[in-house]
Amino acid sequence: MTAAFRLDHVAAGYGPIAVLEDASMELPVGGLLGMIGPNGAGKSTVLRLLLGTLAPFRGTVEVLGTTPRLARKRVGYVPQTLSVARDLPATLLEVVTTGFVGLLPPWRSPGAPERERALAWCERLRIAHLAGRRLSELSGGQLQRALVARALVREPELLLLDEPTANADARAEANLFDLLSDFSRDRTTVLVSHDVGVLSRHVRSIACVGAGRIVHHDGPEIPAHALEDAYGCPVDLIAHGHPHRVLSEHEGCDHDHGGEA
Amino acid sequence: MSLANPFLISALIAVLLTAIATGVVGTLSVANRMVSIGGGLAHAAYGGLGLAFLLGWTPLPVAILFTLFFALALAWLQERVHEPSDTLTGVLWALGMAIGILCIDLSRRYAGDLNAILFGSLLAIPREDLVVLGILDCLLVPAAALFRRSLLALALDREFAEVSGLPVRALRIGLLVAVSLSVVLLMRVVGLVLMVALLSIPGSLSLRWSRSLGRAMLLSGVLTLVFGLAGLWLSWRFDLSSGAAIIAVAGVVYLIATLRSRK
Repeated sequence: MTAAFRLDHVAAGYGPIAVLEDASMELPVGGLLGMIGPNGAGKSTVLRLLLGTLAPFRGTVEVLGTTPRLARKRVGYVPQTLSVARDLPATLLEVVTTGFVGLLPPWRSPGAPERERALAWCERLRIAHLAGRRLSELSGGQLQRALVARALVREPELLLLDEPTANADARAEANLFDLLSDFSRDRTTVLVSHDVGVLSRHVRSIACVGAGRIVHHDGPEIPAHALEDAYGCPVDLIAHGHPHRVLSEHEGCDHDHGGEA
Repeated sequence: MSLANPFLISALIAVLLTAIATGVVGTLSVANRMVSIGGGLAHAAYGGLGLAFLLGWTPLPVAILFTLFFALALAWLQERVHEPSDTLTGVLWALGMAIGILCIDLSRRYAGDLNAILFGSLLAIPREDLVVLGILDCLLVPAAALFRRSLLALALDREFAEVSGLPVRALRIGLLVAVSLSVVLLMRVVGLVLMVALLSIPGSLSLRWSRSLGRAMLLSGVLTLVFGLAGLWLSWRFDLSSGAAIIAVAGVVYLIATLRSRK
């Protein structure tokens, strides 16, 4: 069976510095994967490898049974909102319809069917009423949902999201995860987040990135030792309720930890 | 000078054709953060003019080829070396000028004509330059209209555009070629030194005041036309350099608009 993606003994990084030293992982098709790890551990590096914007030093990367570049039209990507030029004169709907680039010839503008599809996703993300609003007039959370809609109009087989709940309030976050859970029934979603608590409530499995490696845990429960390996320091893990997890502050470690109180 | 004066008629036509070209190229340069690259290419063009002067060749084709070479070299370097884009542009800027000056030095001749190109001579623009400008406009406008959605996607979020399968490299090179051709062909109007202002001011104002990229290009053209006519009138009324007068008008409007919209 074709995997959503496969990393085989991958070393990758920037210039002479290897962020990932020997990362191997295979993710089956379907479901929602959460990816966690401290700053600089290599979460963004994994995303870049899967998107084909970074070539590994060694090892192989396979996406949807082919090379990352060849898989691009079947992959959706939601970057952090900082990557978008908010000062440009474009409406929310125009931004969402730019999701069709690469699927249409470069000289073709999205027509009525594409706009309808874009509006349908905006409706599901509860931003349809903002369709005519300029980018500069949107809040961070509204823009983030627009970027999710932009990726979803492509109806990708693999959806990659980089910190999609960073600007979301609790209601928007719940709405987003409901939508992603629904979307991930027969497709695959990979979600990078610092917030361990958010991830554990919604994902089917978790990948910890740290110390140059990736450790994939099938299921949303994260063993304490896996977090210690990823963050490179002792952690206290407290589960309560939904479950919630809390990583307590401690000395002797300068990583920017996730978690919630 | 009356309106029937052939010099004035040529100048008015030149302003109109310039407005069309900078409406497209200036807006796209600002939207894609390429204004300094445009400035660098304008100065690279001076190197081409110096080379043509040294060799005794026709300036325009040499300047176009020289600037295109610099534009493609910049695109190649941006992808292959770990160096900030503005540093590469600064080097390109200085190198172009240096080559031009060295060529003039080596020619051991007086370069009065080159100085005219450096600062522009709107009231003395020859008919053939107007024809070439018209051809440039005929290429730029349909291309911008055809690729407007792709260009918007590129300007909005280059990384997303690239990973979504848009031919980002081809579009960027296309933009660089458009900027190169424009700066070389517009140098007769406002001069190379002042070219950067027309690439940045109308585009920046129109992006701020428009609701779409297409409307911004249109407004940018209208603004250039207004600045051009106002500068031309000042130039005629007070016997000033036309290029500098146009840029002075544009600069004052930009400063007022920017100060009024400050945070």
